Amino acid sequence: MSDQDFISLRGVSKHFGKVRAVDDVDMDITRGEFFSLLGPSGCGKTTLLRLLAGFESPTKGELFIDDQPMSTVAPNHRPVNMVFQNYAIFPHLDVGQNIAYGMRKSGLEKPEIKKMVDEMLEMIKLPGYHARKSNELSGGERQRVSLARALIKRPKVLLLDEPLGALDKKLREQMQLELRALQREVGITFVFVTHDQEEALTMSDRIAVISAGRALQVEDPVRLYEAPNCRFVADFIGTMNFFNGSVTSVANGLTTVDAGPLGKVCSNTPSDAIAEGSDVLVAIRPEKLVIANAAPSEQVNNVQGQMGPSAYLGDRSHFYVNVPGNEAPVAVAAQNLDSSGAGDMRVREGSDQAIWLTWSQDSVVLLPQE
Amino acid sequence: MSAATRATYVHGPKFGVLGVYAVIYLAFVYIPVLFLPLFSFNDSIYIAFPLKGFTFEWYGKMANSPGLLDALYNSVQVAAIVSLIATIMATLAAKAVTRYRLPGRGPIVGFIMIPLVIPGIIMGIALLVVANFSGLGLSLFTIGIGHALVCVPFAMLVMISRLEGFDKNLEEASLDLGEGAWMTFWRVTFPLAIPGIIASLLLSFTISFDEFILAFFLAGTDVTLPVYIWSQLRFPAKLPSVLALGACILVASFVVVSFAEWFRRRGTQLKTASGV
Repeated sequence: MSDQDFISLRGVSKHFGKVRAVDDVDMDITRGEFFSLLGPSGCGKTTLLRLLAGFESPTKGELFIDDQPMSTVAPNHRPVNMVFQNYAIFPHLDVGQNIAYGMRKSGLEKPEIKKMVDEMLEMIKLPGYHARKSNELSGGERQRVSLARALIKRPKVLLLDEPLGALDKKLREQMQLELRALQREVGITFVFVTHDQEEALTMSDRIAVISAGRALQVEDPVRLYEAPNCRFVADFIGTMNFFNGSVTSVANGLTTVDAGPLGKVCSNTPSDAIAEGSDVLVAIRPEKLVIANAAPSEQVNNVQGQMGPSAYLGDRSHFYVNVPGNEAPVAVAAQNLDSSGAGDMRVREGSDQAIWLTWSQDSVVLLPQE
Repeated sequence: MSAATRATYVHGPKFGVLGVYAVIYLAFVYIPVLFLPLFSFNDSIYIAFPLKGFTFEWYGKMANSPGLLDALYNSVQVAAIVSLIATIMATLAAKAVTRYRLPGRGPIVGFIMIPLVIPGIIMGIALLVVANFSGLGLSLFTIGIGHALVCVPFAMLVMISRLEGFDKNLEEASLDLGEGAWMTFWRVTFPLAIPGIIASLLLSFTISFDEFILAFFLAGTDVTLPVYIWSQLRFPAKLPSVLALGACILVASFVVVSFAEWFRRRGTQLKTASGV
């Protein structure tokens, strides 16, 4: 066994009646990493987590944790602990009893357990909270208690089911950083379920994008954002402009695409299964597009258009540029480097003035047509 | 909206037709019941106005009436055992129905609930036939079986609503933290279900305690209190001590119901606490 396949799923499927909640998933999770399962609601990410926890057993396939096959192991015998979406704090027990709940079989004496509970309370920054009841805790505090209750067991893997979903935005962002720091500190493998792509990008070492029960792409945040492998991933993570095109030439790592309204598009990003003559999807991120007032000298990687609606978002502005022949307006994002609120763009919506969009060849992602 | 109408809304509707209706309703329900304690202290064997004088005689007679005390003891015994059995069965069944993906859940629950809609007299005759067939003979035991049959659906309703009322994740969290199914039941499910269990015990006890038809059909030589009281109605002289007993039961019921209500509210608070 190596650390790379500390947790490994081999052809795991889970069917509920005719619904394939998890469909033939192969995945490896490295020891000690912060791994996120990201996808829209109902995509099967929570079912995957519950398979790891043992609350569901796979219809097909096998999952291994630390080389041990898990499908016949009951939840209470797995080296994993879970932080539930609603925290599942026992309402009839106080905070101290909640955290100590899993220690009954540890064989430790009461004073030792109490000392561990104290340490956990210290760690989650809630010292002296022993006697509090769960209804006296705020959302953030419940989340921490739930975390402490799981971590006191020193699991090999901590499973987190959208633990930050119920918190307000400010607290959520704070908890994201705290959770990340905590994970580094304890060095336990975290498997984190979220539907929030920003949260996943912020916290994770690697992310698996799940859709319709399948793992579409498993990558680190940068690669996932910059080099998505399919339309769904490109669309789900951030914003993406898509154009239809067909490959005219592939040479020296440079792919040239005829993208209709966009003209000739050149890309030097590596892409599988791109052959001459094949239809592709040209994908460009809004922030990779630069708006120019004068016609660029190059023949490729630019297009002329008219300014459409715009939105001011404080740190940046969003523009929608109408490109003749292209159905959807092209989204452009620009940093507001000065205080005019206009990004690098001075042309107003509805103006007749021609503008150009330019982009570099390494910002073009070529995806297979579906 | 004018200030006047708004004021009416704040202070509630004025005492009008509905108020009169409410008073008549309450009087209709409670005044007959209050005659019980009233006449139990009346120094006359006739239940009629005017009242004669104050006496504890009937309470004394009640305490010295072996048949009545035996019947009371029988009733308490049957009701206690029946409520315990019905609650245990209902708790386990409710757990199965609410926690597992049970094939045929709907029909199973429906089947358990059927005794609710079978007329008591039908059930009584049916059980009598079975008791005679099986050679079981009629006794408090057969009454107990009949009562359990009637109490289980009620207990089941109470327990299902209680178990559905709290978060399933709590039991999963317990499993996740290393406890097996049995310890999870004792450490999580049972403490959280206690308000429902108490309610179910009290409800079953009450149902069994005042059940008449089944007890009438299934009683052997030992009778329960309702059957005994019915048999005493033929003797006017015995009636006042039955009233005295009724007054005692009334007070006991009041205490029990108050306790149950207190417990139910405590349960509601716990339930609120468990929510996010």
